This record gives sequence, structure tokens and C-alpha cells, in this order.
Amino acid sequence: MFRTVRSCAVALPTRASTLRAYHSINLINTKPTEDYNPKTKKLLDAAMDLVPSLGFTDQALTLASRRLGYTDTTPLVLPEGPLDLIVYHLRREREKLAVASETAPADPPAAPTTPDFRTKDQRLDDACHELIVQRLKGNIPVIEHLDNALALMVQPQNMAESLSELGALSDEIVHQAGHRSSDFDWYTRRASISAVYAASEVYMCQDKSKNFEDTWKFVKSSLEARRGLQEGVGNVGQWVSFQGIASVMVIRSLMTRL
Amino acid sequence: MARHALSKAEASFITKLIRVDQAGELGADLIYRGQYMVLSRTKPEIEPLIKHMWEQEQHHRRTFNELQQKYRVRPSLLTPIWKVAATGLGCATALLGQEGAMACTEAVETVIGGHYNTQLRWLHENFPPKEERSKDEEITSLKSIVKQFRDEELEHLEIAVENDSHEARPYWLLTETIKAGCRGAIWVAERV
Repeated sequence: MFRTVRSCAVALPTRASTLRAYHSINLINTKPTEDYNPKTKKLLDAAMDLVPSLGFTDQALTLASRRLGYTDTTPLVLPEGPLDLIVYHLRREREKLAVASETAPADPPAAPTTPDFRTKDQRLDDACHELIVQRLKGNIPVIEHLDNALALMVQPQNMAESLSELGALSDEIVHQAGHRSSDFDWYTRRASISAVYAASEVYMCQDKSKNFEDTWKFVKSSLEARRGLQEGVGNVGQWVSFQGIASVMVIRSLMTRL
Repeated sequence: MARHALSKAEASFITKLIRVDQAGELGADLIYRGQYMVLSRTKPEIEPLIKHMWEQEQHHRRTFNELQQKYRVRPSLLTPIWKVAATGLGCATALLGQEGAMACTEAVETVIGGHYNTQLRWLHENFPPKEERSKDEEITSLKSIVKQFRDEELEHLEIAVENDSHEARPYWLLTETIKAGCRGAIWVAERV
């Protein structure tokens, strides 16, 4: 019995490859599930199929390993059990966003018939809205267990893992929405998308509306509120620099001898 | 394009390389901007010289911004601090006069030239030209960028020495302080 446990644990390390392709996108890992050992990935995929009925639980993992013909000790390769399952769900859904953008038709969309009056920020927000909704739709199959998952993710010992996943997700969303920055707004943009996403996920848990219409509206209004705030900060900055230049001019004119 | 595997350590080194060089070129751009702002008023005769070096730095900064965005490397978290510090350094040394500005250039470019050299050495050691994966277009272009920029930074160093950087007083204190500051900034920008 003990030999089985040990041989399984050795045969199935959770992470298989430490190598990544050198490719523009791959200095950061947009395909996180490819890092799993193929057998572990198969087990997690099978367990995810059971999550809608069993939740993110050890039972789902055990039953999945039985269905695949693995021994009952196989799920021991995932020492955190339910948390590993949740993290796998997050990674798999993030990967789906990346894959969807890669397989999207490359040719540019046809010229719009009506002129586009949106500002750059609005266009970016609309793209983010679409991506956040697309990502949240990935939660629908497991929606009944989402509150439990969130409760587990925000426990102190799991915070680091959850936050780094949230960061990776917001990076994916902001990048795909077309935001390119080499400045500090790289961080503020990702932080605000993370905040909107996290709030929307919590809202989604309690949403009883048809097809989650209320959640999509919530995402839109939160993004608009954020944009209002950003524009406000920009306006204050403009006002301050105007006043600064004006005062320099006033002092210069006072110092000039007539 | 053929895809060649990068180990985690290599990916992490290249990520750091892009982040620190991007922050460094941002700093260089702003140092020359600060010097240009002051010297174009106080010493119009060396204005074209400063402008020549400044334009090269702007090109470096644009190049590393493009690399940072292409490879999705996060910029340095301390970007606002680098901006203030670099502009301040440029203005302050230019206010000391031409010699002060040139001594600043000499100190900065000495450190930066050495820094680019270290990176280039790493790239050559880990991607020796005879290896198949070193022929990857992205690796060769990264090498040639670092090499070209190192040469240009060292050209600036020469310009600075030819333009009386050694006449600055207190020369030793000024250059060594700036060098230490640059090394500290490189250490921090690689990490944060």
C-alpha cells in the first residue's frame, strides 16, 4: 500500500516542464495548464467535469481518478486538494481567453458604417468589458460553488496564489484590450481592472437575474465609475500644471523692468 | 518561426534585462533633457552636441519600450521616481556648468557601458553563435540592440571626456557619487 502511494507521488509531479518556448508572448506564461504533467491535467480536467455537481471538493478529485482508472491515492499529487482544483479552474479559464484571441480571425474588421465617436479610453473600456464578461461566463457552469471557491481563495494562506492569478488575469485582459504602456499607468490600469473583476465575481454569486444580465450591467457601470475617477485625476493634473505655468508667467512679468 | 525552448532562468534574465534597460534609457533620456533645458540657455555653443546624444537616447528608450510591450514585461514600479531623479540630476549637473554636465555623462555612461557589456557577455555565453537556438531572430536582434547601444553609450563617454569632464570640481566626489547612484538604481530596477 505504501509503495503504491510513493510510486504514484513520484510518477505524477504536478509540474512537468520547466522549459518555455522563446516567443514574444511566452516570456510570461499565457498557457499555464501546459505546465501541468499530462496525467495530472487529465485528472484535473475530469474533476472539473464533476465540479458542477460535487463542487470544488476532494470527492470530485477522488471520483475523477476512479473514473480514469487511477488508484485512489492519485489525488495526493495535489496536496491542497480543493484549492488546487480552484486554481486549475482559474488557469484554464484564463488560458481560454488567450487561445480565443489567438484563433480569432486575423483580418481587420470591416470599416464601420457609422463614425466611431468614442474616446480612446472608452474604446479600451468597452474591450475590457467584453473580455471580463467572456471570462465571467466561464464561471456559469460552476456558479453554485463559486461562493465556496471565493471563500477558500481569500483565506490568508491562499491569498498570494489567488492574487497572483488575479494579476495574471487582469494582465491578459488589459493586454488583449489593446492597452500598451511603458509607464506607471501599466499598474493603475491593471489594478482597476482587477478591482472591477473581483467585485463583479462577488456580485455574480448572488445574481438571480436571467442569463446574468445584472452582472454584465454591473461590470459596465463599475468600469464607467473607474473611468470617471481617472478622468477626474487627469483634470486635476491639468489644472495644477496650468496654474503652475500661469504663476511662473506672473512672477516673470513682475520681475521684468519696464 | 522556429520555437526554441528557454529555461525559466533564461526567461527571468531576459525579463530583468528588458525591465532594467527600459528604466535606464528612460533615465538617460530625461538626464539629457534636463541638461538640454539648462545648457541650451547658458551654453548655446554645445547645444548641438547635447542634442545629438539626447536624440540617440530617445531612440534607445523607444526601442526598449517596444521590446517591453512586445514581450509583455512589466515596467519598473518606480518609474515615477526614476523620472524625477533623472530630470533632477540632469538639471543640477548642467547648472554646475558644462564641466559638471560632462562629468555626469562620463559617470553615467561608464556604469551603463559596463552594464550593457555584462548583459552582452551573458547573452553570448548562454546563446553561443554556433548553437541552433541562437540563430532565432529574436535572440540575434536582442544581441545586436544591446551591442549597438553599448557602443553608442561609450561614444557619449568619449564625447564627455573630450569636452572637459575632467575639469569638473569636485571631480572625484561628483563622478563617484553618480556612479554609485547608477549602480544602486540598476540593482533596484532589476528587482522592482
